Amino acid sequence: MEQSNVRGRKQKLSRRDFMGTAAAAMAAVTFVPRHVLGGAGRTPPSEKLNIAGVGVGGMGQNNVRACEGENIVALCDVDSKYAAGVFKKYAKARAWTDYRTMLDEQKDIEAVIVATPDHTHAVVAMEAMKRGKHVYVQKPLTRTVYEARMLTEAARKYKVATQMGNQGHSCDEVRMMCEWIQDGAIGDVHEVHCWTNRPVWPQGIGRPTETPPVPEGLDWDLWIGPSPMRPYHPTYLPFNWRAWIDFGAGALGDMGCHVMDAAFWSLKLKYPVSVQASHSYDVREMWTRFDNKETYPRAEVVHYEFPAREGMVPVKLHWYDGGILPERPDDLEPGRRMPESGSIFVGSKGKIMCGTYSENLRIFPETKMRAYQRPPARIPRIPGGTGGHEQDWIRACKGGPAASSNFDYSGPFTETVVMGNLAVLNPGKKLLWDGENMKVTNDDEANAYVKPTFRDGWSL
Amino acid sequence: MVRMVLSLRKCRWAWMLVVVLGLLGPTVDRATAQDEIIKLVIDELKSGDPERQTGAIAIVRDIPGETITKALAEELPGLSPPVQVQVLSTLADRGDASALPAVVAASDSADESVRVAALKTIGQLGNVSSVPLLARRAAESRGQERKAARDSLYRLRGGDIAKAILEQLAASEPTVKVELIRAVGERNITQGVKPLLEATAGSDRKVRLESFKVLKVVAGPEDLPALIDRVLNLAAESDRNEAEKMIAAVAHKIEDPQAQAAGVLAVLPNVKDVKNKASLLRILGRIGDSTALPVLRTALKDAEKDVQDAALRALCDWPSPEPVPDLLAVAQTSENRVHRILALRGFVQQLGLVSDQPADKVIALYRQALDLAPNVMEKKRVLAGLGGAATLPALEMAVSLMDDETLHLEAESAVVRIARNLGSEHAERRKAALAQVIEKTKNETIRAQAQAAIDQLNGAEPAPN
Repeated sequence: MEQSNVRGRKQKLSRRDFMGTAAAAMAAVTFVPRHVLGGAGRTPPSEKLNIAGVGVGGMGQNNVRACEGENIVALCDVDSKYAAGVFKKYAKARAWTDYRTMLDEQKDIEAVIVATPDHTHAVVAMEAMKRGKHVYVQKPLTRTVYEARMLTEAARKYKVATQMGNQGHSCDEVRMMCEWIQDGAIGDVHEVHCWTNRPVWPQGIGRPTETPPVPEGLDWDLWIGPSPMRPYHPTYLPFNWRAWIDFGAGALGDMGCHVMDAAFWSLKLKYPVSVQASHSYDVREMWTRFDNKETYPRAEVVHYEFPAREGMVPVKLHWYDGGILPERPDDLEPGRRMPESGSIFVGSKGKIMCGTYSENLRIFPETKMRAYQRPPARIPRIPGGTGGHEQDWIRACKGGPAASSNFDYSGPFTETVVMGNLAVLNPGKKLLWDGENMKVTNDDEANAYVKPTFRDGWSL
Repeated sequence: MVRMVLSLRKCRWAWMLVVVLGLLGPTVDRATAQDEIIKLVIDELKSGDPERQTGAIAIVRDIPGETITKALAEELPGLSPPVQVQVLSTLADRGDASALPAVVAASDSADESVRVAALKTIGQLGNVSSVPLLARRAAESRGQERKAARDSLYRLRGGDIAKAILEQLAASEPTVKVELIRAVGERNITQGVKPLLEATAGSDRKVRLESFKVLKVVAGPEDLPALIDRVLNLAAESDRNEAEKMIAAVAHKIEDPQAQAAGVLAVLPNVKDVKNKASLLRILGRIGDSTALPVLRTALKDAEKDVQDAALRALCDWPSPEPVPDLLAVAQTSENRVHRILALRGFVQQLGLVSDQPADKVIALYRQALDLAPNVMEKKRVLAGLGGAATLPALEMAVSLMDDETLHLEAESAVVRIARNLGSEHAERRKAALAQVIEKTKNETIRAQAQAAIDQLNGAEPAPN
């Protein structure tokens, strides 16, 4: 038989050739990545997912551990010493330093956990999604509003299963909160106060001037990634990068995605119409204030305004961190403690207080709680609650329903959380926000932080 | 046999088999198999069946190599627009720059969706040669096309892109220049300060204004002397507002708030031109550095009216209440009626910022403002300012004015706002004041607001056991 190729030249392809290779081809089927079978496809539930972890020295190792029941086929970290323990534990996984090389060369990866510092979440996740890999990305989804929007759109385009690592979103209590609020337990909610005990890392500090050598095993250029280059210093990593405007999203970005989740979900919030903030400042000498431009402040208060939506009244959400708490409500019983991190929802008929992940949610005073007829559970529960957050994603990777904090939810949520930093970095101004177009409409200066500035050679 | 395989094209397994044969079959000529895959893919893309087209797109995204890219690029113009859009997106994902010429050609398509997809893809595949195209497109188009071109200018990769943008900036016509200047800001090209400063002296107004806007982003404190010099030598008076905003924005980047005005203060004594002097005073007002207050106070008494005016406006917009006594004095004593009114408005605005004085003292100042107000309109402004206060004396003052025929609406509104803002204190007094509003007001909106505030106060109380 003859075949014509696209250029019209006839090639010989014998029937024996064709049939003879069919058997080999059948055997070869199993060596072809599953995604070839059906595009960005789904692993059958009975089979194990091939997972890679990027940024596994810190929180990432918890995420990887939660996915141990699957195949951990690759681990990537720019700091081989910091991640040494994890590499050793999963010795069968191929070890990598550069996620781009890993994705280029290792073809059996089907899903990627991204637990790098915030400033590299977007570039890593995007690269994975472009190649049809499902992604689980630690919170905040991204450092900036623009990156969150890009990831949300990419998830839809590449039709991959996604999840943000705000594990509280899988707990029963946040679902109860939604059910109570939407049942009208406290009437129309017009105010929410959210607070955290973060930062527990240094903030309000200036850039170090010393330039110690880069430790062995750390690829500093890769760690910096898309952010502007600066000399290595141990103050940045591990963990404390959260403080730095070039690398993290501060206490608001770090914990807002946990603490504000109940409000965002139960009140069906999307884009705020305005935001304003004030924050602490350093006093270096008498009457001389020092405004830090390198790190987020030690403490801040952020006020978001949301418009009326879907039968719900406008609501103001107030965020506090750095040790600042909202006013203790008068009707909270004496002796009853406010948690270190949590929320108070204020409605026309009462208030609810809860912890970081909506745990211990109670209408107060307790007399009202006892009088409240709780509605039946109607929002599907996640097996394992917060402990089942990764498994929720894995089920989605295998063709199950979308994970509960997939990017359709967590993308806009992250946009709202991190846009608060626009106000933090422009204190004392009420910024009017056009969420659809990702733009502050009354202050050009504030828009400088909506999109990241990519270092040469990096882009989304 | 081949016909059988082709007839199974709707089956995804058959697709996989075709790919495996092409990639792994040891005795099958690889080039032949690949050519066959390409032909099948192109046929599927031309099939008119959306499901088959989507299946083909999913496959080609993963097949490596330039051959596939070239084939897709060659076939692109002949595909229907919806398929072209998908193929363009796939070419972006493949990241193979050999497709760039075809993508660039597609950016001239008669179909807008294809042009938009092509412009987005150029952002992924493009290089320095793409800069002029994207800038021109951003200048000449509107809507989604403009957005795509601008976004791609922002996303272009490569260390030489910044240089290309700056070089192109020098050579472009004004509308294109504006887009390139915008890209300088979005990409934070700090090497752009010098060319942008030059552009602020050019002949095109839009170029000048965009340059001032972007300089706010890319310029640093070290550039302030040059920027201030520009303000003192403007190409056109109509640029002055934007230029002043630029200086203030860059000054705000100085970490020590009490050093932010230093650059302007250093230059001011030597400036004789009245317009420039006024400009610098307004800039001091925007910066809000308290070290500038003595200079502004002195300027209030300047012989030149424009200088006085600038100083007054700077104090009126001051971000903290330090100028309150100065503004009160102007409101009481100025011979200039406009200045008296401006000062009064600034005074009321800044009373809202006072936080370290007893409430009674602040209310006494509001009453002074009310007495100074020359007409009903200004009295209403005072009441609007009072409504932002959150003290019991403010509430009492607002209630006392509810019987004034000309001011009752503003007084009622102020009562509602103050009652809401009073936190958890004085619940009974607040309810009583709100009840008075409900009884007296003829405005339905205010009545509803007052009722809602009472309901809220009642809802916050513990339920009886």
